[in-house]
Amino acid sequence: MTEGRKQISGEPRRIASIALITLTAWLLQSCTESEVGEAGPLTAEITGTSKMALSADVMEKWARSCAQCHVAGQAGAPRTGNAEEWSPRLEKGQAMLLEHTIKGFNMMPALGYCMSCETSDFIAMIEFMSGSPRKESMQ
Amino acid sequence: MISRRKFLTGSAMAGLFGSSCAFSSTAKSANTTPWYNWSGELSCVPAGRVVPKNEAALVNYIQSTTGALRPVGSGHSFSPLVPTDGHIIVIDQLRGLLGYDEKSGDATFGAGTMLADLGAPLNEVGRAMINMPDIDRQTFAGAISTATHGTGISLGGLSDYVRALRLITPTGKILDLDAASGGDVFEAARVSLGALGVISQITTKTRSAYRLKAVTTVKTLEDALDTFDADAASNRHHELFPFLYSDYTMSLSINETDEPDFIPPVDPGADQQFRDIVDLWMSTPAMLRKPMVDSVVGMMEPETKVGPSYRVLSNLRHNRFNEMEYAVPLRNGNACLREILNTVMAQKIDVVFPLEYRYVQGDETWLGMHSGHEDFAAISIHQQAGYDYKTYFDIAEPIFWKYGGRPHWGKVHSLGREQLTTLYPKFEDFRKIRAELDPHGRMLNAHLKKLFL
Repeated sequence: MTEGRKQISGEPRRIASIALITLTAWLLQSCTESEVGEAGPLTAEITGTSKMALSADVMEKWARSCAQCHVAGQAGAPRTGNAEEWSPRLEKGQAMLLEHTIKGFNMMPALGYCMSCETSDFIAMIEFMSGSPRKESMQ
Repeated sequence: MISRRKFLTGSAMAGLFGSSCAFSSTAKSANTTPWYNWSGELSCVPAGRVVPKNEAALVNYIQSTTGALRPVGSGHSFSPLVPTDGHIIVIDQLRGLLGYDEKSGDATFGAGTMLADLGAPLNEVGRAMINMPDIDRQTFAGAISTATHGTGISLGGLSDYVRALRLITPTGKILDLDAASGGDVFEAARVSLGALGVISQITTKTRSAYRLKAVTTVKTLEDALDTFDADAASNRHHELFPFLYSDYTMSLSINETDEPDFIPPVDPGADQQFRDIVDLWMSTPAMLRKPMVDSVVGMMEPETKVGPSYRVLSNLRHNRFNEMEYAVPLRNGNACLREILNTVMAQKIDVVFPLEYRYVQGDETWLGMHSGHEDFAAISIHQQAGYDYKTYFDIAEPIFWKYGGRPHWGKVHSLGREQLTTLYPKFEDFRKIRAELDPHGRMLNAHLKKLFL
């Protein structure tokens, strides 16, 4: 759910320089933390940041998948419980968010690294992270 | 965290099997969640997802059903190994360090353990993987089943270090395989494309924990290739990322060190910047990019990263892509790389991603892309997800063939049984074992039928 793009501006030399440096960083050092978080510490970290709750089973899936990016906001992912960051995504409709989650969108990998997740799990996770209960049919 | 103890002890076995035979399974309906791979390019609507809670549940499911199955790890393959209208089996509950043998240094993991989760528990017992690929989201089983590898002329791929594994066959038999007792079935199962059944646990060789220092520089491609053999021999890991429409390449060398941790700060906006820049470059005529790139490479400073081996070798990729990779005999690597670069630029193929060029030690697996008695040069080409990759890959693939290339099983390729038989001396032996273990073809989807029938 890493939506929205900013415009590139500036003269070509500067842009090319940024491009190469960014490309290097992307290829070789894209992430400072390599381990996938397990449910325990991440659950504690985000407690209270969302208005919504997840079942233990879905929380365990979330901690091993979505949390990789949606806790720290890696790759431009909206952070869990951050209404300001979720607002422009929610404006596109929760059904669109679900489609992007399943099919992938920009830097959001298809299925969000959760091969065991069903559609109902993704709906609950979107509600949990955005803090917004569904207002429309998402299926 | 499991403390030091003999691996495959009775207690470890009991823990893996658990006391229940629970698995969750969904039946196909209008609301069945489709499956997509990481890049979003491959998809299917399976009959349902099966998520065994433990190994006993996996065995129970396979024994009690007869339909088509495909195991799925992290969905990180770009070849259609998973798509099926049968059930997909998700092995992510079979994870973690199950045991460690102090005497041999061998460590046993649940097959669904993500590569990213191998390093820390090994480090706690003073051990480390001998080598790792540069992306760490794959499951251990998915990685060995596709012969996924890292870099290093003196280092093998992950499958090369597998000492034992447990395979649940399509008929529900539990096979504990190792080099001594497993014989041909073990050799076949080390790289099996998920065609022999479902792997539930893997025992791997390890080494003492170590630290690495990675140094990235920019060189002219000519200079980098002139010294590549010497650099590959003198560095533990050495590889190039040649830019298209440029005279330059990034060069990455990684060696053991005692230096303290140094992780360069990562710009939180870098990934989005990268995507924006890719979009910009893709909107610039390809031949006009060369002066843009070449005029600024001198501004790039060397970059350094130091840390435990598992933090330096592998990481998470945010920007999605599709990829083709072939291994060509080492003696052909330089010529093959140059021909791809020249052909792509001559035909003005619109791609921004650099290639990847590295050496990997030959190994003794049957279907590993580096199997045999000589070493290989692995060459990867990428295209950003969402952009046309077929034009690029269709032009490059015959060049790989010309130089005797073997495809990476988890990446895009178009080969079938006939060609593969000529590339792998043990291919027919593998086919026979596959037919014996899976007489009804439960594990075969359309892609695997093309490879093995």
